[in-house]
Amino acid sequence: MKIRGEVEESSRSKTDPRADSGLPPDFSEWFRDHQPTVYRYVRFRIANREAAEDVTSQVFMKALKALDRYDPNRAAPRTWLLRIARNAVTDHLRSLKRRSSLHVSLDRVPDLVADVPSQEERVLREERIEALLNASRELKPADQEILSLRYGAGLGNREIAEALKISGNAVAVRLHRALARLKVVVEKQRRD
Amino acid sequence: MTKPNEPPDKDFRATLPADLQALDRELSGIRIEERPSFGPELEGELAEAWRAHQASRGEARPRWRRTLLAAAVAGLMIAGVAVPGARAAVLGLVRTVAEEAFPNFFGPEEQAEVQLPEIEVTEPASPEPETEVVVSAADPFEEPEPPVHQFSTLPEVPTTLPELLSRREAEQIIAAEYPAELKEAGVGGSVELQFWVTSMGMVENISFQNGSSHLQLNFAAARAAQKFQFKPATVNGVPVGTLVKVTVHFHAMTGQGGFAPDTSTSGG
Repeated sequence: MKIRGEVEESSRSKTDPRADSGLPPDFSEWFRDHQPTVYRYVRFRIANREAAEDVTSQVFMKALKALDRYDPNRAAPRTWLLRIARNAVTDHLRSLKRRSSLHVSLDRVPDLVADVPSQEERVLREERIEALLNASRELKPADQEILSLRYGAGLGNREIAEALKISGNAVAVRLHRALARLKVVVEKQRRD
Repeated sequence: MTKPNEPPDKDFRATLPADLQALDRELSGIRIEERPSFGPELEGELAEAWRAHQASRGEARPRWRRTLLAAAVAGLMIAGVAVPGARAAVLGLVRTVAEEAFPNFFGPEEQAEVQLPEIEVTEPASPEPETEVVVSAADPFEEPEPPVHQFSTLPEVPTTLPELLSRREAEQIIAAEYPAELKEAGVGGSVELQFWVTSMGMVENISFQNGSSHLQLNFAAARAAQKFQFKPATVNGVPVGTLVKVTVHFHAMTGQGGFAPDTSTSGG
């Protein structure tokens, strides 16, 4: 299997000491390149870090099992992995919904705050992130999806378009609407 | 795929009204930091799973050989259906192979022979007079009724299912494989496995049917199952390989392990 636009394993393994991970060479490379993206996407949508780690593990385990069926002509590796991640997150949230534990609490967000100098500022920032994430969970799944791809996985509009199989214009419109709806929910929660 | 005239991403924020720009900026400022050891840990687990997967596949034939074999089998089947002579040859071949593999299933050769009714052929004592005409009761132009075939049922073959040599030992193996950190953290769970018990009673080709969300429990269950020893299933007293489903339980409260064999098994 050959990955689009990537270096041949034979030449890479001679220079890269990390090449021997025990995984298939292509998959090993995907893991190193895309695991942080997948994790951030999952973490943005899931209320606590432990669950996000579990779901990320499931994503790569499923991808490893389905490696033979991956078709490079249909999707780039990251798009494929994010597609698996979307399904895994949906399954996870469905199971959580039955237990009504979708909400984030303050003790679960410290890993989402970085580069904040003072403790006081950090607490305020945590509260704000908590409010934003809880508000985002009130949105429709499609809105949550597109916000997670942009602000969680950190994808650009072009990459989101590829992942969702829609046009760049459609991405911009959907993002705009999702942000507007998020703002309404945040303000409503603030008033309440 | 994206269209070439889509707006560049960096300009997206500029297209938003001021209040949404602020929200976009705020959301973009969320920094998701993963636990530093998470990536290496996960990579290790994946490598372990991959090794187990490779081991379970054993000496899998190369793809081209599998394709060639499949094509040959398909060709034989088509030829077998289409050409009576070939069909007989294929059936004969299948029977020969099956008899070598399962000699007791087919029984001794002489039992398989079909006993044909004996037909006596006697010469007439004297030539019949030419004028004598024998008219039979049956109309010679009427089509004879097809013969009625009597299908005999296959004899019942005594079979036994595989059994663990020692259930207690199996439970001790499960308890020993229970990851200490999960045990201490009170994390338990069940893992449903499927594997092949060989005619020697060894476990091969383990696969997960319903795993735990804790990958370490899945691996622990697979490691434990690999060490199980069975009394193999038998057909007509001959040990055969069997597919077995087992649910391995890790009890968080006691730190003990247990399992429940599934009743669904299939022999081969």
